[in-house]
Amino acid sequence: MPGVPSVGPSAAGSRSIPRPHQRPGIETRKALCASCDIACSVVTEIQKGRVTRVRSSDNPLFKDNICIKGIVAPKNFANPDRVLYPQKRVGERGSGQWQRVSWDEAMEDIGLRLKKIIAEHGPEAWAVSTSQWNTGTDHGLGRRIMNHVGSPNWISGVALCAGNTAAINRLTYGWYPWPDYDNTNLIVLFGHNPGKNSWVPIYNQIQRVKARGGTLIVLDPRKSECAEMADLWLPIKAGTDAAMAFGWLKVILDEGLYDKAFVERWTVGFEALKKRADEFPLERVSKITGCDAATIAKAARMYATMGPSVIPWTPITDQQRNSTSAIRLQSILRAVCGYLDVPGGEALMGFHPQIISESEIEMHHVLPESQKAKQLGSDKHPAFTYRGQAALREPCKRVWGHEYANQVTGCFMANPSAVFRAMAGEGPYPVKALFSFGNNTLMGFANMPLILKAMLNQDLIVVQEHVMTPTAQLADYVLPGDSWLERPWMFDGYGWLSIYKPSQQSMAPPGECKSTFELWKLTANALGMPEVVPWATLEDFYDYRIAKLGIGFEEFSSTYEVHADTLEFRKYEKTGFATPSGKVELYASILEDLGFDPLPYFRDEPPADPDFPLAMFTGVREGEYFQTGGRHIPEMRARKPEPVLFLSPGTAQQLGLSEHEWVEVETRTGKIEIMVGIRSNMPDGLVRIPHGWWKPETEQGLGKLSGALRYADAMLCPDDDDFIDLEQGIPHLKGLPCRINKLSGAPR
Amino acid sequence: MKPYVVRVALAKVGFALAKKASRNQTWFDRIARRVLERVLKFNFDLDEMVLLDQGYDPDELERYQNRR
Ligand code: SF4
Repeated sequence: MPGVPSVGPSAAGSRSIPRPHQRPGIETRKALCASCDIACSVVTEIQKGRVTRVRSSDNPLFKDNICIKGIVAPKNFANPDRVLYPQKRVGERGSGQWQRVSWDEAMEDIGLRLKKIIAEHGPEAWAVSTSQWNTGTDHGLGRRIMNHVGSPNWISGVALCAGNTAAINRLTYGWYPWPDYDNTNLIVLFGHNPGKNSWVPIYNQIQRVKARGGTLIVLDPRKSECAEMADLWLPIKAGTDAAMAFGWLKVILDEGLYDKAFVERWTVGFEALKKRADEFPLERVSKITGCDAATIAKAARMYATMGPSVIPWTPITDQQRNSTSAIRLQSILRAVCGYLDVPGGEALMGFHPQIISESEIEMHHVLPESQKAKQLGSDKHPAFTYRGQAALREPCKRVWGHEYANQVTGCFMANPSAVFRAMAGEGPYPVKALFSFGNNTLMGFANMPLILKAMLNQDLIVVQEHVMTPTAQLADYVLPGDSWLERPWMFDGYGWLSIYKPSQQSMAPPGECKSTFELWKLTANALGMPEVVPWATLEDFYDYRIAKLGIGFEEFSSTYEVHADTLEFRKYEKTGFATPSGKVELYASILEDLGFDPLPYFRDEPPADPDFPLAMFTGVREGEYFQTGGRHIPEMRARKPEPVLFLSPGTAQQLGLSEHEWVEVETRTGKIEIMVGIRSNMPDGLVRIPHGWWKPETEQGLGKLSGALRYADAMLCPDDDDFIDLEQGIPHLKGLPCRINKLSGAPR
Repeated sequence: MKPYVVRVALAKVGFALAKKASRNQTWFDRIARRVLERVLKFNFDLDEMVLLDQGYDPDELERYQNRR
């Protein structure tokens, strides 16, 4: 996530990017890159009215936080196939027949059709799928309008990537903590693999910690790039994070390596937890995780004794059958070892006291309780829904001053699968309108065949995009979005950190591209509620949010690169924790009240499926691409032209496969075509599938969807009970049974 | 491990320096930036494509955008 101030006694000796002096005639602006979701501070160079170069910030806090996706942004957004004008579908859904219309025409028709759907089916028949970082300037306005209209059915990819981690962390200690890399002694990466082109600020932070003598523990089935740098690597079996964390906990409790004073004063449920941990002797953990008992014990001792230590957020733990228990166990390890809200541990930051947060903009209090109760999925899988988080409202207000902390926007979501079922006509009530902004919804969640069926059953689909994604190809309206080069922006630390970073506009948007702020404002107008988004411009809106600082956005963005409140540790000593008990809930009262096991547990995988003898993991970002985006950028496609699976030389030999051969990968949900890549760092029997493949240059429209039906990993991922986490209802993507079928014929 | 109070003091000094450096307006802000330049370690493993990048020619981008 973001490049937070990194200050430490690192040795001198830098080998930084060579920066030519400012060239005369080249104007520069300070900006935040949004080509992925980590918001690196960068500098844009402008010639002839357009950005011609993106380089990393001159500020030592952010220097060298940049990757290949950032530097190709000028080419990315100069894409000749970019959507520049509103497009209205004129043929059958997915027929590929479009007519250019004006914004006024589009918004009037969208407003009328949405009002008709709401009148017929209720406000809950309107679902929105988006992410505030993909769109940049949403800033909670979508939720605000939905809350006024009365729909609780907002979904996002953050359901299986950081948003759910935030929501589950809150169950234990009321806020999602941020690792203090600058002062930590030891980092634990549960499968996460930041690299020079992926999560670069985190990668650089990890290297800084290593450079000043810190320790790195990596748990990963393959010897990843981070595993190569690690002091200790545990080749964990994919999808067994919860069992591994139980093993660590057992060692730490048995050997008395925990912070006894903290546990005594600030936790509830310690004895019950200890009893549960006793069910996980190292022999059992070793059998489940595939790692030897001595190495597990060694890692646990290092974590507990070499600290302060951090376990940074990892998307890997988010996407497992035991995700809730595994995230809880990571939270519990932090707490019992005394690493919560201390220097070098994990900081609970709260809201910035002088800036209006996106949580506040969202106005969740105006959505009636009766509508909150209709949120899809909250009956069976409530953890990150309004129902699951309701008991935190009062404690959050008590400790952090506001009832709704929508951290990483993941704390009041509907369950995506439940929304798709309702859209497909298989839910408790119909959902007939979908807004998908910067999201490529079709390919962003598990069970793509279901999502396709759901989209084909809609009365209205509105998409805001840069390119004709497979999702856009199924829309009624495709509206052109601006990019991060073309607008101002204020990054809010995901509602997780209390830091704010401004970004200046570098060039004018092309064609009729608009920001998501403008789109939501037009939507509020079209629905007859202009007072819900009263600010005339995005800058006015930012002025309103930072008014307490005593300066306007223009001055704010030219003065600051990051604005932070004062740093305080152990704030809980004054306020308690923002949980129902005011303490760290090792035994989670909220889960108990929701009808789940209040203690972490481990649910075994279903019996082996002889037809699908291999295991695959997916959800893997490649350095060249962010999620399903970027396949239209020539420089990136030249580096990575095709989707490639990875498997071990032994497995390749056993299956008679050779490098670059095209094969079919199949699960019980679907199948895709993909090229073979043989990698010596892969364990036998495991297949790695890259996330989000389609080919923008190929045939559009239903039946092809530019290759999405042929290459997208979402075609392979199930969302039935055996392959979801029960509390959250999110899919298990780490260790799915699959098989590889040889393809006859010429390579494609 | 250093005593807790020492760790807190060091962390707060570092944070204050970072806040100053992020403004870069006053004389003291610039000193903070200099200090950080000296104590932070930079780049370890940047992609060659990033290291060699000199940006695009504006006319080339124009031609690309308009398929000329
Ligand atoms: S990691 Fe790369 S793509 Fe992501 S914000 Fe930083 S420069 Fe941009």
